[in-house]
Amino acid sequence: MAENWEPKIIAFLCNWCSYAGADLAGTSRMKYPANVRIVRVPCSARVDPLFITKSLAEGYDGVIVAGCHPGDCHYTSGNYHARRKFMVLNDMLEFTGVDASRVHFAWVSAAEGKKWSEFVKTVTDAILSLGPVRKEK
Amino acid sequence: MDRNKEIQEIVRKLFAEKKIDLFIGFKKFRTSDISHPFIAKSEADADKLIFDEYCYNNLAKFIMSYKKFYPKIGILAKPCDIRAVVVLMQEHQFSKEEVVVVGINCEGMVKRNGKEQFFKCRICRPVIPENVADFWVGDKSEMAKKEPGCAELEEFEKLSNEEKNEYWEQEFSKCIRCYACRKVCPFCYCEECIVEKNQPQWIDKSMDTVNNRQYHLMWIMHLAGRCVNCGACERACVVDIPLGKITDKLEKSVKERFDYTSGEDLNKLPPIGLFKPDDKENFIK
Repeated sequence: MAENWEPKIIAFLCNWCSYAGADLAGTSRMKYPANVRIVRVPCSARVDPLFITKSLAEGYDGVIVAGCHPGDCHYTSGNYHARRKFMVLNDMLEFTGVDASRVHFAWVSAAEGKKWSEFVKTVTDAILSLGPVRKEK
Repeated sequence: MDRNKEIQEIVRKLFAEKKIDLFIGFKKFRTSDISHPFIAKSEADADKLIFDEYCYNNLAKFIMSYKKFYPKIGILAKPCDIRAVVVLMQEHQFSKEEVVVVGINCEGMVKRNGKEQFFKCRICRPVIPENVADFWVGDKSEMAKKEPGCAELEEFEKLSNEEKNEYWEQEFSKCIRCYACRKVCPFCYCEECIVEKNQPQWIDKSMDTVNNRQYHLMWIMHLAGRCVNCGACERACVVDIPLGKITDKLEKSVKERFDYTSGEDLNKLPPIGLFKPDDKENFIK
């Protein structure tokens, strides 16, 4: 592992809840690790397992997916559909030896700026202890 | 009546009554241990149809290739093939009226060398969907007597993450991206597969272990709730990657999470398109 390695984490946040929550964390000047790169999607259901596997293949050390709480989806049921997909994806990732600590899911609402910043701290710590996803670099 | 003669009799009658334009079955090839998928297009062709323990292909694959040009298709289907037909009907690829299903008892398929039975067949629990087969060759009640097997995944799942990772790194490094697994799967019928897409290129086509793993993960995710665990992919793999392990795990995962087995019931809907407000998971914070 190179000296001063910083994890690169990509986050797929739904536009209506989790992105707004992250925005709130920003406007409230909450401090959290700067390793996260955020991609805004309209709904957590937009997140195809392909995005997650592609991110890991491209060399991102961690992936975060966050959406509205169950029952609060802006599109009524998007997060329920997303949840089902992620359940199967999680099982298959674990089965093929991709560490479960590399891919994290959370429900973050627009008012939960604090939850977002704490969540990113937890994830970054977890990825730091795992090491880079590309061992050769 | 001899099983082969019974099949030939049924198919001849179907052609004579113009109930089908095409029948998908098996015939013998050059040596006695090769049975080939065979497309019969007339009564005369029907004489070549057979069924034995070398008929391991999943014939439901051929329905999708031919249904555009032949409105009425008949198929000789083992229980796993019947489930594949059910899943295709659930996805509205064709209706019950367009396909004549001739079911047949299956004692398990064997490998060509040494007659060893395939693992998938040893652990098969022959679930036969109701009201799908129009004809049945053999005594259907015999199938219910087969002991269901266990996929024996517990041993593998107990391994640590590093061990599992190493195992699959080794297996996926063998993959030469021939896509034989995709070719034989009845549910891979997309006009343009995501792997072929170049702009943007989601799944790299090179034979790198990282890309191979991504391909296999995505391929199995696209089969969630659809795969009937017939084992055709594992049999087709040229470099002997244990794809059957992955499909076993997928079947187990879908069963545990959503209490659903693919292709069992034509009236049920596939789980990934549905949801329950109280789906239980323990990993979303």
